[in-house]
Amino acid sequence: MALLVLSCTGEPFEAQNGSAFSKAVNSACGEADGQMLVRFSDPTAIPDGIVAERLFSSVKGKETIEKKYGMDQWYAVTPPDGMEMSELATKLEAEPNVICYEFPNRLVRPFVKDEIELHEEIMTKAASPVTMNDPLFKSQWFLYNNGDKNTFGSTNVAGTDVDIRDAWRLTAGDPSIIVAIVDEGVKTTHPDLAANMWVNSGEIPGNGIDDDNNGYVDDVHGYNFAADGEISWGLQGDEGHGTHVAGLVAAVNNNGIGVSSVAGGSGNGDGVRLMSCQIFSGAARNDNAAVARAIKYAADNGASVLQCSFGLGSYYSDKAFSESLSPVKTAYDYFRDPANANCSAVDGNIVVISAGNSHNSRAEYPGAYRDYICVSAISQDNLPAWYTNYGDGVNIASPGGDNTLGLTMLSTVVSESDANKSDYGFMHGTSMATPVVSGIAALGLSYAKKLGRHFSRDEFESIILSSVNPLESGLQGTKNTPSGTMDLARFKGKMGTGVIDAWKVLMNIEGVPFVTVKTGENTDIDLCSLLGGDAEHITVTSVEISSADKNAVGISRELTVHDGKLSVLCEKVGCARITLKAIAGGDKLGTETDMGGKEFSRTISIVSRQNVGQTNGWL
Amino acid sequence: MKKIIYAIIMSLPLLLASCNKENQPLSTDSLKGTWNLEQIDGIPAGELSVWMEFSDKTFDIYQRLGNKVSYEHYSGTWSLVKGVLSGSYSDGKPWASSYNATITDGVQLKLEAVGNGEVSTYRKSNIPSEVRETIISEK
Repeated sequence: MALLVLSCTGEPFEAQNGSAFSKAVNSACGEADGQMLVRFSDPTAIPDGIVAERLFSSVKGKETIEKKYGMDQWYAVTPPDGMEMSELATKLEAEPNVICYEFPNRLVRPFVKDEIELHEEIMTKAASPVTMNDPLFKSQWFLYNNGDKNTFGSTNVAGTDVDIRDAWRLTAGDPSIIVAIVDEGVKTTHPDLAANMWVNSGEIPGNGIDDDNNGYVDDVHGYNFAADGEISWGLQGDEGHGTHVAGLVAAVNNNGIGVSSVAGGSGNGDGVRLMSCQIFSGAARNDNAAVARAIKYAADNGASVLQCSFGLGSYYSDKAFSESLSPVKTAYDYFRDPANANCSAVDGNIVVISAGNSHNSRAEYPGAYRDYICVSAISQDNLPAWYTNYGDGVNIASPGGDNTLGLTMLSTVVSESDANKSDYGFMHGTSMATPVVSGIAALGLSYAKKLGRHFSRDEFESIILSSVNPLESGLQGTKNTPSGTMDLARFKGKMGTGVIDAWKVLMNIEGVPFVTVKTGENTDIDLCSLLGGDAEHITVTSVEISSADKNAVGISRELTVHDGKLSVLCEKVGCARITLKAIAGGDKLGTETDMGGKEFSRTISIVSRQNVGQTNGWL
Repeated sequence: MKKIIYAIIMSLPLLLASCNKENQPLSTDSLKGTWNLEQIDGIPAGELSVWMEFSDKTFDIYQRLGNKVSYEHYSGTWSLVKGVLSGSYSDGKPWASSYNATITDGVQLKLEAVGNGEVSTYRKSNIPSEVRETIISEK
């Protein structure tokens, strides 16, 4: 996983004289260069002597929503030559027009990559049938896992995949759906990615002009926010992480070469599109300003899904994260806002973020923030991967691989920086688990659009979070890891709702689950179809039914949930809908001050009739 | 006596009216064709979209319950003995019950479940093409 690791905290910076910089939202981290991010109460009255450029480019027609989030007030301030950051801070403290400011942060990126050469032997051993004609599909166990222990390791478990082949029967993507890869630069010329790269039709490549006047020059497939220029991928320090992530989302399917992907289409130009929002660039400085700008760019240029496999450091509450990284949080809020919805099927855009690879009992931020979908990783043994973060803040699990068990996650890489000079390679981490979820979210949007379905953002996120296969039953005993023996009981209830399943996502997009109950008899409805395969381990916070629906089916008793079952007694023939609210990840909801799970809600339809048989067939 | 004669005279129009709607003796031929659920126990079908097709000894059910987009397809075999319709699905499981079946005017089918008395009514109608085109599962 690529990490933007900040050693900073939300504690106020202490100046040498002991007086706190009261307007600073974070500490200085010993940084000597970079830009200070400053929020002015009146951006038209920036004091003389302060060199400031607007942090967020303004987009024509979006001025109102930019103001709603105060984006017009944030500026990047560069200290004059010779001025220390602390001197600039002192100056800003004295300015009444300054609301707050954020010190620059040097960000680093520890990295997990498996240097495994792609042997022909690996490709021919696997026994799984190939739906797409991509030759390496058979090595992508996370897409289809037939239980082959020779190829995928002795602990490989059949079915540890995301059920993609069934999902592809209904859709393999839609070119109008755009996934923003906020990461290293995506190799836009990669033979298995190029056809699925988003193209900014308003930009003429390489002419050095901002043709579409969106504030960025030559942003044909996205933009390099780290180096303020064109997207790059082969510089010293680049690892191909963004290219690997992009390939998991939407490498071109059925093109006869390389790998398959979750939402890469069927070979007819129908894959979802990849927008490269580059926040790492070789040895260039990487900071929060780049992240914030990248997220706003994604919202302004059509992305519906924000794929984020990075972390922003050690925070212990949503409040600390929000206050310390205000521009980044602002950008995320802006991206998710219904007014910025980029897909007609959903009011708002979807943010998917990795939980982190530190084997900690809580997720890292920003993923841990309660608004976003935060992804933990399982390996091919259908158990938590040895490195994954778990616990507070985690919402859902997804295949991320484990290099100690066998082959990990095979996807596209940058040949220039690959040890084997290959276009394909293996990596593992929550960085890899997350784009699988992002791809499935994009696939879900594609299908919703195809069906003409429309959801609120919360409804769509709830579908993602509840379309899962069970994980809990395997969380007993121990598992051997590189760092010792892992007690699996520690993960109980802490990996999220379960393991994402693409087919279930599409089925839930089809419509509300439907259950038939016998009139006059108490029925315990199994909620696995509603809350996922681990329904009995999900904490339900409320059960709601309208008075009209209660009357329609003659419900007079209180509705209760126990052991993953909804107890219902209908005295009359009729139909009704019941809505459950539940917690994705753990047994307590996240709040401003306490990390926790994300609330989601699902609705089930019931028909009460006298004639109920052994099947769901009508007669 | 006058009251009895009066009652008979007054009820004649009703008797005649009900004779106009023929309850045909049910035969396998009259059941063959395609039927659409209209009511269940007097309640309009609403979100319960159910289409049935009876052919020689086999049936198909296309059902979409709730707000889903696609239909589920069930199939199996059926038989009619002395006006009682019974059958089983292709997986060998029996229907929820057998049914006393009657057809009115050749276009309205009434199925009364033996044992629990549930009454569902169907109208003879061609199955729209989109029903067969949106099948998402075969059972």
